Amino acid sequence: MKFYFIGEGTTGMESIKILHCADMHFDTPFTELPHIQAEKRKEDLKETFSRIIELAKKEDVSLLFISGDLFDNERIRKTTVEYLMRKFQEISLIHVFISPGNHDPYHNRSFYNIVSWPENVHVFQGGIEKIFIPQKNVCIYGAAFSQSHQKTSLLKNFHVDDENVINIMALHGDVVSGEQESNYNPIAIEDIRNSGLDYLALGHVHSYSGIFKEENTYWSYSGNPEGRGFDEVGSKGILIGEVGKGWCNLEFREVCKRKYFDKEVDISGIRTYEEIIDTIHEEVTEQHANENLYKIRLTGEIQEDFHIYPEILEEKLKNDFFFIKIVDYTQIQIDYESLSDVFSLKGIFVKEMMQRIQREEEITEKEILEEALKIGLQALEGGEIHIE
Amino acid sequence: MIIKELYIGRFGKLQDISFRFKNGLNVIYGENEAGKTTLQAFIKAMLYGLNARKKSIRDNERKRYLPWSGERASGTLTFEDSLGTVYLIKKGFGSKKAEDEQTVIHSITGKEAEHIDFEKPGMTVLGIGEESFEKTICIKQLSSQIIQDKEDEIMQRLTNLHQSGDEDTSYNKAIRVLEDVKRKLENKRCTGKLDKLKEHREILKEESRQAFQRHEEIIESEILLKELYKQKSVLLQKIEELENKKERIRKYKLYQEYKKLIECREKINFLTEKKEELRQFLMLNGEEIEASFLSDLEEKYSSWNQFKIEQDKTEFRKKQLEEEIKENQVKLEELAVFENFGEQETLKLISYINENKMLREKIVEIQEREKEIEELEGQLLEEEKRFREISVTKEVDKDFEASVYQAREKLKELQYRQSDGSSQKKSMLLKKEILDNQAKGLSIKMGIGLLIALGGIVGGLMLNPILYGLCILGLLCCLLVFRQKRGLAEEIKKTNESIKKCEDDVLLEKEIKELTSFLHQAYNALGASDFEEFKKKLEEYRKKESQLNVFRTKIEAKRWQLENNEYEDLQQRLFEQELYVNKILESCACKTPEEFLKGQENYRNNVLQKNNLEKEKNKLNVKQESDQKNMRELEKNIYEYLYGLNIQNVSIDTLKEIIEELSEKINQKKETEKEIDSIKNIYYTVLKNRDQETIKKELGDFIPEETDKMLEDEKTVDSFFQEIHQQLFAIQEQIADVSHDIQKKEESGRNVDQVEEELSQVSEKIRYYERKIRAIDVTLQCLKEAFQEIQKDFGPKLNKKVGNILEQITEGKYEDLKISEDYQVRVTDPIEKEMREIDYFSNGTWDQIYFALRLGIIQMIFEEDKKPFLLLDDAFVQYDDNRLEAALDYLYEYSKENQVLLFTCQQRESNQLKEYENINFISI
Repeated sequence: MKFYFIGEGTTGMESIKILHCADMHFDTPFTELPHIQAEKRKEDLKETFSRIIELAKKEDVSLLFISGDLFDNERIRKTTVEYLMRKFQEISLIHVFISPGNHDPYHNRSFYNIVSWPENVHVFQGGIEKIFIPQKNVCIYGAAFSQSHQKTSLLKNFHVDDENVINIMALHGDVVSGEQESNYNPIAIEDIRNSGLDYLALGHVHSYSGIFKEENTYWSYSGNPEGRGFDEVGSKGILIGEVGKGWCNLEFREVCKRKYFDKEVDISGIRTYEEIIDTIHEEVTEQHANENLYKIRLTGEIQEDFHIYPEILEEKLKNDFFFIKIVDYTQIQIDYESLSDVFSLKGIFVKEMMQRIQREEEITEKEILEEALKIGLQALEGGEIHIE
Repeated sequence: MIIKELYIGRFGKLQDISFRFKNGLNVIYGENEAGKTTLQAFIKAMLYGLNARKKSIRDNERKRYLPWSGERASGTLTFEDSLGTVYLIKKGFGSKKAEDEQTVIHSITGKEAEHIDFEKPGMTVLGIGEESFEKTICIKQLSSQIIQDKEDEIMQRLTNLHQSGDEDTSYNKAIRVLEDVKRKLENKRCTGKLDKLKEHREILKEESRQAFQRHEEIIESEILLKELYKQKSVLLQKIEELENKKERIRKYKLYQEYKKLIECREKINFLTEKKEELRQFLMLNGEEIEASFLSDLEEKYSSWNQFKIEQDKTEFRKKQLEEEIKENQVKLEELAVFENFGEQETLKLISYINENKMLREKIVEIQEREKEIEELEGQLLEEEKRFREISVTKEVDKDFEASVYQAREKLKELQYRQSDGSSQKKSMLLKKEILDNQAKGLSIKMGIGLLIALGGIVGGLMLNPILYGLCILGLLCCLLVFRQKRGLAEEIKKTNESIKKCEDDVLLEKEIKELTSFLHQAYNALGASDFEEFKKKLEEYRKKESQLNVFRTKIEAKRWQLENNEYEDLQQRLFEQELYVNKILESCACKTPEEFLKGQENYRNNVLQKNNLEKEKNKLNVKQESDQKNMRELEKNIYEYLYGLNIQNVSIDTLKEIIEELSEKINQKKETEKEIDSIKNIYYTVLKNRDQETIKKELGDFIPEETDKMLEDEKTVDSFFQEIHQQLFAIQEQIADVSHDIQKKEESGRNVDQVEEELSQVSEKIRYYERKIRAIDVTLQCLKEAFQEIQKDFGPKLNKKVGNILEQITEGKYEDLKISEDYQVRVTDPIEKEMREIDYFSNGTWDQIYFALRLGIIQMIFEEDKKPFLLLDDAFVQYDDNRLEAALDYLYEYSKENQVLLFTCQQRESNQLKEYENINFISI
């Protein structure tokens, strides 16, 4: 284990103020968004990171932990690296600790290694390192991914050197229970329990986990400070507060610029686009909705002659939201009674399709069959079929 | 629907004509060109309007049926619908569709029937479109085949037989639409949306791969850059060290310069003081003396000195002169004897001495001459004696000499004449002999010539006339010889004359003899034997004679001289002179006149010297006086000059030392000034336009250390410095290159994340469309299955219906057939009991099959009580009589329930149909 001292003096402290964040994923693509929005989101990310730096300054924190996946080493732009350096220089009095994760592992070709980071930044480089800050009476631990996979736990059998000081560790990885496996540093609860740490600042999981306690060790995933897709919905932020010997009063602070929402909107019985739009607006209750990103899943039964073109809806709604994506999951309202008795092409077709849908268990296939039913009806009506 | 009445105002060739149709069978007969087709077209135009889509007149209905005159086509059609209501369709056609007028009115009320489509009343009333109309109820000759069209109304109607509300669903159309959509997404030519997206995806994948690679390269460059920065910082550190060193060297150098400046300053101060002292010393009346002052003084002093030296010289000379004068005095006293003799006496003495000598010489000369004359007279006597010996006989005079010469000349001439005559005669004789011999030869030649001539004549006569030529030749020879002989004879004559002449000269000899004897006498006189000797003797004679004459003249001249000399006078004068000379010599006690002359000259010289010495003495006295005066003046002048100077009580003699001292001081002052200047020069050179104070400030608290002396010189440091700078420069250049390279790479394409974003968008779309295609595939599959089920239902019905009709019109020959969804019909050949394609059958059967198909379809798609009229246009042309009869039978039966309009141009049908009742025949 490497060991460093930072600063001089032995003035002991009761507690230390920290900021814990993780998973910024600078320059990882926003694949769900079109070009312009994707670029805006990247800028949002910078804005949010700047806000975190400002917050650290304003709240006068002593230590800033970044628990991995700060950027994507295979994609990061030079300008982003320069931006990060600038930002770290702005808080030259705050010690910054970075535990590289699976997207930004520490190795020869890592930007952590290539670039000379400001003096207040410490990047962990492999197995667990220890840094003692006597004037704060704090001992910092950390470790790094050295490639994109870390199949064995970096925390395995770890125990702090000195239980009398405040011990904090930053780490990137998957908390698993028991003997569960993971490619991303499987951290066993047991190891946390036995670590003797006062706080374990974790990264990797993109949503705030809440603060847990095992024995005397508090641990938490701060989540990422800015959502990256419709699978990362809701509030995003960081953890800020004090850590003392055997206690902590960290709190989650929202810092995100925009949020992702995934909503289901039932439009049964609706026959016009206008009504759909009104319904969507009714369903979107969040404040500053126009700054957020929405995925609206339309559901319910609609008339067979009412065709929904999501693009048209998106076009109509695009000015009301930062981004909106409409997915049509509606089903056609079918009068089975009237159809089942009639011996006609349509009747036979609908009956056949319904049977298939009912038989199908796989959801995607079911969806395809639903779609096929809609298309078939549309074709039999003699109408043109538009697929955009 | 039943057509009740037609009125054609104007349509094609038909004009203002009405037709009335009944229920049942109506037969419209007309010959070709009568207007049957026009009438059918009129009915169709009433029901569906005129199309103008096709270009050829035959196919373009509007062009075909509008009157050429430009009038509008117009007409009415009265029909009864299935409910029994009668309507009137009224239409007027213009050259364009827009110009058409049309209305459908209730025939009784006259109200417009709004539920009917005015433009295409057929659509409403018959329930089928134009294409279906032509494929079902309008049966034309040779074109009864049914082909599936775009709308496929027939199939739509066939499949919807059992549907209640969805008459509009069409299987074929639905399939086509779906397949169209699918094709638009994905096709073999890869122009579908999905195809293009996939292509785009491949491009993006490649771009993404390149972007990743570029990023990797950027990382490599960044690593290199890091190394370069490291090297740069090492160099910068070195540079800083060197700069410090350089500064130290500079300061040290500056310090040394400063030291030097201070030294210079001190020296300058010291020298300035010294100069001031000298200046003070050299002050005279408030002004500083200069070199010119000294040179003036020196000049004066030197001229004073010159005078002094001159005076000394004069003094010395004066003393010398005194002594010389004394000496001269003594000498003059010694030579006082000569004082009495003047110049006259001396000159006389000298002339006497000279004359004495001359007189003595003259006397000796006279004595010698007398002796010479005596000798010459003796010689003359001797000579005269010898001369007499030469001329023995007589005196030789001039005349004698001349006569000898004359005689000799004449003798010579005569002798010559004699010898010349004898030799001439001899040669003449010889010549005559030769000539005679020649004359003889010529005579012989002539004889031969004559002989030849003669021979020629004879020969000519006797032998051959050619031989006359020989005769001529012979004669010619004779002629030639004759001429020669004549010339020779003349020559001989001349020769003879000459010989005669020579014999006359004998007379001469006598005269010669006379002359020879005379000459012998003459030679003897002089003792000579011949003429040559004579001449010699004569010359000798003449010479001696002249010698004698010279002697005589000489002797005479000498005698004359002697007679003039006064020998005695000379003796007298000589005596007198010797007396005078001796007298003088005695008085001066001189032995020789020379001694006297020397003594006298000596005396005279001393007198001259005495005068000169006295003159010089006077001159010197004058000079001495003036010199002394000058010196006094100069002295006065010099003292004036020196007055005011720090020097007092000096004698002129020490002036030189004073001058030297002053000059020394001036020089010293000059030297000091020079030295000050040179130090100042050094000072300013070291200062180099700076300021001593600034240097002092710049030095600050610099204290030289012992090690400073050990520092390299600035140049070495500079060169090292330069080397490092070059290295730094190279590194910086490299850094710039690598940075530029990175920047270029970053700018050379989109970033990985941007490409991935687009790639993901495209992939999402591809997934979306693929899903759509899958859905369409499922739809198609399902629809086909559904159709097959329907077909199971209507197919057999149609087959049966058409089979029945076919059986009836073929008199039971064919009955089993199958109709596909695209109206392809297959019929069982009753003989071979095998299903065959329709093309297998004859044209007549072919027509019949389709006739049956059409009627079958009509029966299937129209409800029993809503069947429309049936329109047939020469449909049976290809039928044989039996089949025609069967068809007409069937048609007749059919017309009992439905209206049939049968157009024909053949009597065959009319004739056959005349057997039936209730048939409405119309002919046009």
